[in-house]
Amino acid sequence: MKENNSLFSQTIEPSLITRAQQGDLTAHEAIFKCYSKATYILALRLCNQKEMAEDVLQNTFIKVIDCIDSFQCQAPFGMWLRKIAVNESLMILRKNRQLPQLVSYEHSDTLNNVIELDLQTKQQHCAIHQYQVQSTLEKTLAQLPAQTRLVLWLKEIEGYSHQEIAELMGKSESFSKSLLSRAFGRLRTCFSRDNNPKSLVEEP
Amino acid sequence: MNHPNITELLAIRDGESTSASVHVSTCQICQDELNKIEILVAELCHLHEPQLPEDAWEKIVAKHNNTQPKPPGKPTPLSKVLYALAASVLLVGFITLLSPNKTINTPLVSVLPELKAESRALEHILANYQTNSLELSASQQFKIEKIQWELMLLDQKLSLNNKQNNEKQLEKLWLNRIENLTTLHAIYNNNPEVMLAQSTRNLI
Repeated sequence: MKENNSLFSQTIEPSLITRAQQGDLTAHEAIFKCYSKATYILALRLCNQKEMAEDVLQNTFIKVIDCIDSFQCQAPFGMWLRKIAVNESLMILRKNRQLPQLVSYEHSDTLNNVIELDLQTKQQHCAIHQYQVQSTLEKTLAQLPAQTRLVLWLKEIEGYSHQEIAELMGKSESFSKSLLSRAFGRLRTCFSRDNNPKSLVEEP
Repeated sequence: MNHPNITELLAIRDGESTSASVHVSTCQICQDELNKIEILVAELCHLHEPQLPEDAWEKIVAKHNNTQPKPPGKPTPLSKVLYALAASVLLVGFITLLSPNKTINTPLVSVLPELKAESRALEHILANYQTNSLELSASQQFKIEKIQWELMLLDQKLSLNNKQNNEKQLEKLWLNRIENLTTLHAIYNNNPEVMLAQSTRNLI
């Protein structure tokens, strides 16, 4: 499994894991501090709802507390934890399958705050442009069907292979490839229609 | 010349060799398309990072503590059934020990049918649970999966020992099976009281 852009690829001291395995709660807290952001971002991107992402975050670290004994240092700890987080996200997505796949765009307030802060700087134009790109990307990502978003994020950010995604979802590799193509197709269309940001090359 | 579609472009980007590979390597339009994909991925990596929920760690610790066994409370009808079963096993064991026709070396031979009956009774109780409608935490789900796995292994061992007619080993395995079923019941029932029945039986 590739690690490329994943925030889970950061490492922690093996002694911290040993202490956590011995039941030291402060060691668990240190592990949480190290990987909580990565876990929350992953959960939020996969589930696209703050409530679900919070549940994933909690369940993941409860599972870490309960099962850290079973961790063997053969694989990086972050990758082990990521596997738990992905499984928890999938479980919650399956549990909430009655929810509509198209969900509202949640982060506009936060992004508005970001742009207000950025506008105070001298690089106003850059900030506006970056805001437009991120805003469009966030909106498009949020509007993708859950499975498509999941494939896009796991493949492009977390570095999963199509085979690994197919195994996780209980589908074929071609299914994963097809969803990834759809995701990029959708992102490309939205960028060319809405923002046409300068950082992206013009349509051929 | 027809340009490859996005699925083929993504495959080529991921190192796969397709019929369009040569074309893509020399076509500026296709190269631009690949660049756009890379830019999109880079933008995805730099999306605004959401803030972690407040008191996330405290909530995890509290939730984890809630999943730990609670102090004993008022017995439920189900735990009474288990008490009765444990008492019957105790009684049979006691009678067997006092029986003049039996030697001390084989005191528990007649306990085997009782253990099987207890196991069946527990399974019957567990079959009445609508597990889908139960609100189980991630930690509980994990424990249930672990127990179910152990039960499967035990059944395999029981089947093997049945063929070899190994009484002592069978007895041990049936006891182990009952313990697992009792724990499972305790999780479903969320009642650590039930564990008492289990410890009573261990005195036999």
